Amino acid sequence: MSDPQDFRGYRRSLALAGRLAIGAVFLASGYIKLVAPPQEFAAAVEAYRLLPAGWELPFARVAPWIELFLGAFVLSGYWRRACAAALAGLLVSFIGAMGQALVRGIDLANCGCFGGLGPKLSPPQEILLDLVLLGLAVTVWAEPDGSWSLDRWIDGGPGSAIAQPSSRGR
Amino acid sequence: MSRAAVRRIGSGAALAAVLIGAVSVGRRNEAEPALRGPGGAVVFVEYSDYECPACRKASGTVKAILDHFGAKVQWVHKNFPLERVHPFARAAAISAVCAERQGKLRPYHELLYDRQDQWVGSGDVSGKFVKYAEDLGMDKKAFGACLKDPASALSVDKDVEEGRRLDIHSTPTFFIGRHRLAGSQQLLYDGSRLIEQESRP
Repeated sequence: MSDPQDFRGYRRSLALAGRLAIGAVFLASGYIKLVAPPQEFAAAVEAYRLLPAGWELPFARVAPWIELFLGAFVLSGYWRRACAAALAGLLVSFIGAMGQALVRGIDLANCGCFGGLGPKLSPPQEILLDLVLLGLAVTVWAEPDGSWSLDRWIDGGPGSAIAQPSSRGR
Repeated sequence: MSRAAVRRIGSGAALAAVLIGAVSVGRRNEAEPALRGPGGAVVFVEYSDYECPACRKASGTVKAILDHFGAKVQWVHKNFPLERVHPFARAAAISAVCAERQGKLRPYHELLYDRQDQWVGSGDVSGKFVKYAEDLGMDKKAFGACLKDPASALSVDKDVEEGRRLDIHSTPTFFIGRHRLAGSQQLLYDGSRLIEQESRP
């Protein structure tokens, strides 16, 4: 017979894995953009034809910092739920931006002329990836019990990050 | 202030410091491109990849700028083939070096973009380049020999190395004076304005 505590344990582990994964993705994404000239990210943003002319460069200077901080905060479990919710919001906006580009017939499958690391994904593949990340963000937000997080340590409650996770009594 | 509040502020500040520090370390000091050419002309540097559709899109704006400003601008083309995604770009870059040797870089550069659909993916890309050279009145034999000359390939490597020192990751990337523009839209919106600005004494 399955133990509800086992289920909670699996849920916690999934949420923790999800938090680490999505935190790392956004941290890396923000960092890569920040160490490159902002004009390059601005050029990628221009391709979506969403922002008014002249807004792309200011956006390109600011947005990666948001990604970097949210990624780091989620990774470390600092303001975990709020940051996971914010990341979910960002992902919804990315999916929306990509979707509107597809609907308007904007060719986003650029040649990779914007450099970058890793494999080049087609717009449908990017949307799929973002949906997976959105699922992870929601999982992290929904998990009430933030194991191994700065929030736990800050609150100094039971099962804080610097103590052993509470054992499951049998 | 409660202990939790102190921990909250402290850890937040520590995280922020680490992140800002990491970004500062990661941002390289960029080399400076040249500012002025002979006669005080504004130096307009283009790093591009002949197989890149975005570069093709920008080529019209580059032509318009060069036609409009004439001698006020010194156009400098640098090859930056993105070989990871463009298998024919390096060969095209080498051919451009050969066109430059015969003083025909600009018309050849424009022709390569105009006919990008024809030579990209072509079975005999070198043969096509030699034909283009002939169409532009170049010495076909010298052009063909140049394509095979290791010095031509070295010239491309030198441009790529220089581009990396300037922290270039994408094409097309332009420099007007010290101003960097990436992509065709930025050139379209800001190129002429920046040249006018840099032209002022």
